[in-house]
Parts: sequence; C-alpha cells; structure tokens
Amino acid sequence: MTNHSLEREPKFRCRSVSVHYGSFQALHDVDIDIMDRGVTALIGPSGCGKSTLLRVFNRMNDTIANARVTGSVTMDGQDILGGDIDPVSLRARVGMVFQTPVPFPKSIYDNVAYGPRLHGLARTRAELDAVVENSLRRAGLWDEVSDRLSMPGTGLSGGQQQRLVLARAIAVDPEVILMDEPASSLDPIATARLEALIEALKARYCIIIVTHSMAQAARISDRTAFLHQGRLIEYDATERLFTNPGDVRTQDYITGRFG
Amino acid sequence: MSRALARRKRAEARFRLMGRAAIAFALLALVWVIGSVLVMGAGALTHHRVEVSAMELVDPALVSASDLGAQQRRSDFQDGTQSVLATARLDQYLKGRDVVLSAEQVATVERWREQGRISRGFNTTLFTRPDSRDAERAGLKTALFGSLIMLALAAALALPLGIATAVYLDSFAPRRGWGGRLTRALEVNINNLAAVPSIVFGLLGLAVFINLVGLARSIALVGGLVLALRMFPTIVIASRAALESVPPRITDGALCLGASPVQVVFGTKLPMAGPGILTGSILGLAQALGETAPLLLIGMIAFMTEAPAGLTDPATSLPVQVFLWSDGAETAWSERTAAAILVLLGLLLLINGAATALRARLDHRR
Ligand SMILES: Nc1ncnc2c1ncn2[C@@H]1O[C@H](COP(=O)(O)OP(=O)(O)O)[C@@H](O)[C@H]1O
Ligand SMILES: [Mg+2]
Repeated sequence: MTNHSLEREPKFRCRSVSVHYGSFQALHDVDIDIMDRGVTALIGPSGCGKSTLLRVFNRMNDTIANARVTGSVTMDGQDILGGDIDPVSLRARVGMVFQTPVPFPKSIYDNVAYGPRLHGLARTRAELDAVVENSLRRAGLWDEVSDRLSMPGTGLSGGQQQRLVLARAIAVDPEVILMDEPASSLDPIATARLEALIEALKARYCIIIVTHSMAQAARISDRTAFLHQGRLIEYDATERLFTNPGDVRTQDYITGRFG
Repeated sequence: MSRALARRKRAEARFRLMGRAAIAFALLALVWVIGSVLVMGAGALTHHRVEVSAMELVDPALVSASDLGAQQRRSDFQDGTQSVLATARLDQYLKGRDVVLSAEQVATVERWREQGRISRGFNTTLFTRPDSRDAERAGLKTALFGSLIMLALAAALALPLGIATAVYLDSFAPRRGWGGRLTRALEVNINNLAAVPSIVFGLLGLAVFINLVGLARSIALVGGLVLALRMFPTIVIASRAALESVPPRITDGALCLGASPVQVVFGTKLPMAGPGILTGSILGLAQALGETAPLLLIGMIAFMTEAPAGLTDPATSLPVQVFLWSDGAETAWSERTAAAILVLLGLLLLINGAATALRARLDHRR
C-alpha cells in the first residue's frame, strides 16, 4: 500500500520511473510525489536504489555511461526527463550535496563563488561578496571562515567542508537541495550542526535527503520513503511510517531486523 | 605465530635489499655512462690556437689552412701576428693523445711552445660554427638550429592536437553503441601508436610527406612533421591519464552546480590536469629531441655546412649529428661526439628543469 500522493501541489511528481544500468534494473516503476518546502527522507537498505532515485531529480544519471531512465518526472508541472529541458539549467535549480564533501581545489571564497560566476548571478565584486557571505551564513559557516576566505577549501574540517559544499549549492539560489547521506562521514557534533541547519533551511527549500540512519530520518524529515530492492515500498508522513508502518518489510527494516 | 612473523620480516628485509641493489646498479650504470661521456667530451670543450706571423710559411697539417688563408687575405694581418686554429691533429698531440708527428713537425711545435705562441682556450667553434669536414672547424650550429626548428614545429602541431584529442576522448566522445565502439577502437589504436618503433614514423614520413605530397627530402618541415607524429600519441596518453586522474567527485560537483560539460572541462578539469599534461608533453618533447631513426629515413643524413634558416631548408638534428660524428676515426671526432652528447643531455636537463619549475609554480598557484 503506497501512499504516494500529497494534498498540496507537489514539487516533483514521478510516475513509473525505472532506471536501468545496462541490463540491471535498479529502480522499478517508482511513483512518488515530493512536497515543496520540507524535508523528504529516502531510507532503505544499502543498494536499494536511494542514490539512483535522488539522481533522477537533477538528471545526474545522464552522466553515468550505461544508465537509462524511463517514466515521467515533472517539476512544478513541467516535464524534466524529456528532451525539452536542458539538464544544465535544471541542475542550477536543483542543487546536490554528496556523501563525502569534495570542495574544489580553490579558496573558500572561490568555492562558493563558483556557481554565481558560472551563471552570472553577480554583476559586481560587491554583489558577489554579498552572495558569498549570504550563502556561507545560511550554511552556518560564516562565523568560522569569515577571516580566512582566501584559504583553500580543502583545509577545512570534514564538517566544515560539508557545510562549505552546502553553501556552494545555496549560492546558485536553487529551489531544491538533494543530499546523499550528507552526515555519513561526519562526527556526532558536526552531524547535529548539519541537522539543525537542514531544519532551518527547509522553510525555504525543497530538501530530499538520503540517509542510512533511521533516527536521523525520524528527527529531521516530514515525509519518509522506504525503498527495498529498487521498489518504493512505503511513503508516508514520517511519524506515521515509523510508528505505524503499513508493510512488513518496512516494519522489519525500521526495527533493525535487516539492512 | 611468531615463526610466521619472523619469516615475514625476513622476506621483507630480503625484498628491501633487492630493491636497494637494483637502485644501486642503475645508479652505477648511469654514473659510468655519464662519467665516460663527460671525460671524453670535456676534451672537446677546449682547443689550441697558434700565433702565426704574416710572412711565415706554416705546415697545413699543424694549423687550419682555411683559417690561415682567410686570415692572410685580410689586410689587418700586416700588423704582426694573428692567432689561428690548430688542426685537430696538432690539438690532439698537444693534449697528449696518441698522435704521430714527423720529427720536423715536432721541432716546429717545440719552437712554438718555447716562444709561447701556443694557447689553449674555450672551443667556441663547437657552438658557433656549422658542421665541417675538418674536426677543428666542426660545430653544432647546424644541428642546434635544426633541432630547435623541428622541435618548435612538432610542438606547435602535436601539443594542441594531442591535448584536444585527449579532451575529446575523455569528455565528449560517444560512450555507447556504435559510437562507443569506435571510440574504444580509437583509444586502443592511439595506445598502440605510442609503442610503434620510431623508425616506422620515418617510413610514414617518407611515404606520405615526401613521395605523396612531394616535399623535398631532409628539409626541416618534413622532420618537424615526423616528430609531431611521434609526439602525438605520447601527448594524448599523458593528457588522458592526467584528465582521468581528476576525481569524478570534483567534476560531479561542478556539474551539480549547473556547469555545462564544456565549462567543466575548461574551467575545472583542464586546470587540474594541467601539471600532468605539461609533464607528459615535456616527456614527448624530450623523446622527440632524442629521436634519430625516423630523421635518418627522411634523408637527414646529409653533410650540412649551413644552418637552416627556415622550414624548407635542409636540416639535421643533434642526435643525427652525434650519429654522423661518431663515424669519424680520429680521437678529435670521438671527443666532439661526446661533447655533442653532452650538449644534447644538457638540453634535455634544461627542458626537464623548466617543466619541473613550471609544474611547481602551477601546483603552488592552486
Ligand atoms: N553506475 C552504476 N552501474 C551499475 N550499477 C549501478 C551503478 N550505480 C548503482 N548501481 C547499482 O544499482 C543499485 C542501486 O544503487 P544505489 O542507488 O547507489 O543504492 P543506494 O544508494 O540505495 O545504496 C545497486 O545494486 C548498485 O549496485
Ligand atoms: Mg547511495
């Protein structure tokens, strides 16, 4: 029993989305609606297709040589899988943060300024300065790095690097932020900071987060989707899914019986 | 348990020892080769001159006759004496080499020596004069100019083409279906091209540029084209390796920020791969500088007394000059051969030094 629809108009609407890697099918006919302004968590055992589904939203599967995506995906009602949307412009609207933060081998400033420069979002140096400061503030990093913006971004700690790449994504002014296990390489304190940040950001952005920590999904997300072997098993309000799962596989997973 | 540990430690020690022995052997061989070239070549770096007066009748076996003739034709010769080049024979005799002079010649040389008319100085001829039949007048100017012109042409052709090919294969070539198959076939062929013996490139140059296109034999243009062909696969392979070593997470990061594939390549990948591409290209350049066989095949074996001034002039290169000089029987020629090798090695050192410095600067800037 999959409750994939929302009351409000969704940000993304996926209908029978399947992804193949060569002859291997990683996602089977996934139907899911993602709400705007809120946190949607994707959980499930390793290899169930969470990252694959996440990459559907910003067309990053296009960059994988043997990946093939079928079905229909709309963003704000507009088809984003077809040929009439440019994946490059889509990715400016849908930012992404990876499991391990990998800053560009540039200064902290240039890391954050990369996107705005690319898209010509700032006309003057002062405007660019403002965008950089704003993004770093929203990512909760400004106070720690404001006095060393010209230092290499790779010199920061893991938690700071994760917030730096978050700031880098925010600087492009996206509508959606995708996060693929963003806390898996962070210590508990850095994780707590990141979660607080996500809490603050969700009023402004549509956030989709993949996590292997059910506690984390329960803490930060509004809705949770459980995937298993490439299929969407259950999708519901987080509280309901964790307290009263409708499928035995969900039940088994959240009680730690497999995965 | 502890016995196994001890065995493992012994094996490690043995391995370390073998590694050190291999390095020592390689170093020894290198020192021996370079040392013998240095000892031989050092002799050619100096040469003797003799003060000769205007009216004096001199044995042409002792001082360079053409040098003398040129001096005597000059009007400023009136005011006493002029210094002229000693012949290679006399020079070798004075350097204590095994040269037999007649009793009369020995007497003359002894007289000159007593009068202080013999001097030894730096052999500028070796660097400023073109090749010659007489060892004392033979210089590397022809070869240096030839190598420089051909290398410049080869680099100007092979660098942009090679890097562009690498970028295309790395980021834009089709990966799926028939296009992908074609791409892979292309890659395999370029890899094989790098392993093709260089003489085959000479044959190719002969067949295509000379016989088909109709360019003249042994001109710098053909040499540069052949060397460009030789460098091309090396540059492609090195550049591809450098591009591939850019972490995909970095390029993914750029793509996720809405960078187009072209922006990723030119804004992120190429700058990061730059030092690697540079090193690989320098390697290709150094390889081309030392290339002999393909140049011999396109007719660069001719004796050349004039440095090439342009691409369509006949040319020769440093290694070919080494090859030609090594044919000379007298010790003067072996000396000069060794000196030419030293110049070649010096140039290679210079190129590699420049690459290292450039690379350090590029790395520092990031
Ligand atoms: N590039 C790829 N090529 C082939 N198979 C892949 C590729 N990426 C992922 N897969 C396979 O697809 C399945 C789903 O992968 P993924 O979405 O990364 O899972 P998750 O993020 O849930 O751990 C896995 O079985 C994985 O082995
Ligand atoms: Mg994953």
